[in-house]
Amino acid sequence: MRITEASRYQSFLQDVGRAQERLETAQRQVSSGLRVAKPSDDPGASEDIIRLSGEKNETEQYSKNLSFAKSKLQTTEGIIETVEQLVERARTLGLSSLSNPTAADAYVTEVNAIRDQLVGSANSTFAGRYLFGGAVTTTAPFVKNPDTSVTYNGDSQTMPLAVGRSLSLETQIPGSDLFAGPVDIFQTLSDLATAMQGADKAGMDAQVQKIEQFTDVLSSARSKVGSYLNMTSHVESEMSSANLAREALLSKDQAADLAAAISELSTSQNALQATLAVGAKLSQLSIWDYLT
Amino acid sequence: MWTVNQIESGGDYQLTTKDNRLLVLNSTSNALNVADVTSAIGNGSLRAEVEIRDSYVPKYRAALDQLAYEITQQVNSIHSTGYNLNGNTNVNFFTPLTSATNAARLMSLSTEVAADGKNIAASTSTTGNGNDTAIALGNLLSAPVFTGGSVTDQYGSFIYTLGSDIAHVNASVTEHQSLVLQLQNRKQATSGVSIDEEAVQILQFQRGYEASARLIKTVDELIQVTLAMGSGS
Repeated sequence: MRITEASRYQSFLQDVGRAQERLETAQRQVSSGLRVAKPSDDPGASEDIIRLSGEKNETEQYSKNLSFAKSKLQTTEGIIETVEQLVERARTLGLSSLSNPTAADAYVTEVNAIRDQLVGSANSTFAGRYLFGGAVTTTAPFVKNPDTSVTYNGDSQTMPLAVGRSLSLETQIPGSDLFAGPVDIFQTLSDLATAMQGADKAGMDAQVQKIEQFTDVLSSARSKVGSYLNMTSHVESEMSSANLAREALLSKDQAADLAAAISELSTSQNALQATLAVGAKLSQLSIWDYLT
Repeated sequence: MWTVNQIESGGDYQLTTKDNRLLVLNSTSNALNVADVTSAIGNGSLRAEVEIRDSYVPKYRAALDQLAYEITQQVNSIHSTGYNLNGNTNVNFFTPLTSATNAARLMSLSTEVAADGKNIAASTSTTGNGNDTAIALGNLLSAPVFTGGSVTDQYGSFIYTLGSDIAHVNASVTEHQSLVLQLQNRKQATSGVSIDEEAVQILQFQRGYEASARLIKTVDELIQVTLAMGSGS
């Protein structure tokens, strides 16, 4: 085939174009650190990348939920502990009153103070939301009535938080299972105060027994919160190992192998230099140099 | 890309379009009418634009519309069973769409939700307190209730289609560039000018010319000698 100058230049230009394209690709991989920067770079891998990075964002939200649940449960645990101490004090007062009914006045005042403190604890909030109202979180769940009784305005929901696909964690003990549960502790304390005032030993005894029942309710609630907290640690460690595995997979799909990319960069640089050098040499070649 | 002149051997003169529509035959001309010429665009970059407009973009739009339509439907179907903080149920989260046509463009919050955030139904209990419905909505992300799996599956396969279309086109561009180059080289081989060849030919003709000149000079000298012989006697 006859090779003319025009076709030689055309081939040369195309070769230079290809070499530059290759260099550009290599350069982009090195500077961005990404092997797949746009879907057309590797359609199959892009689909995986979309899925994996979606899962990553999803997990970030789950992880936020998890920390939220953890702090909420820790707060709850602390409050239950305080309540346990208060109730224990009330029981002691009841027992003392049983053996020494004359000191009743001071005891009655203290029992009433404990009751008020308990209402405060029962209306504790976390992040601006009431902890013991079930799903009623924006209004105080326990309301004192003029006649010393306390009404529960909440419900029995446990407000689960999603901490994974089809995995949710309960974050609350509803007041209906605790303060207003099998034993209405506020009523019990009122009744105890009344019995103390009336030096009603049988009444005092009955209320002390009720307080002991309530202590059982408290400790079972506490172990429930403990087990939820335990769950958060399990889920947390599971999540972080899943994160690691996902990161590995994602970088396999998406990240450029830096060593390979850099060596490709210098190879393509050399290739472009060679192409240009050869082109320049060839265009110097002319028959005029040999004819005189 | 439109007109080609053709002069027939019989001396007729005619002007036709590329797809052989007669415009002018000798002294008679046909009027040009306004018509839809899209189908007559057979190749070139204009054809590529038409193809993008008529086949690629509608395909991607349809995929996005389908996704938007299904999200609207699925979210509404869960949301409308829940109760909101105003104690109402059967409230849509998105304005319901009748079909997937233009769904991605038409997708919008329902008037109720747009007007008042309390109209977002998060609960299954009639008081509107609680978060079961919200959790169910969140679980939609991985629920296989969309065409082709979950919503992420559907989006992933859309990205795959887009990426593979572009990769395919890129490969085809490279292939055609090589083809064009090959053809150009073939054409050049036949009709192109090789400077080396011409240089050699110039030399050849130059030598021919020189040889002719040498001949003429020799003949001239002969004649001069002959004439000198005549005048000298």
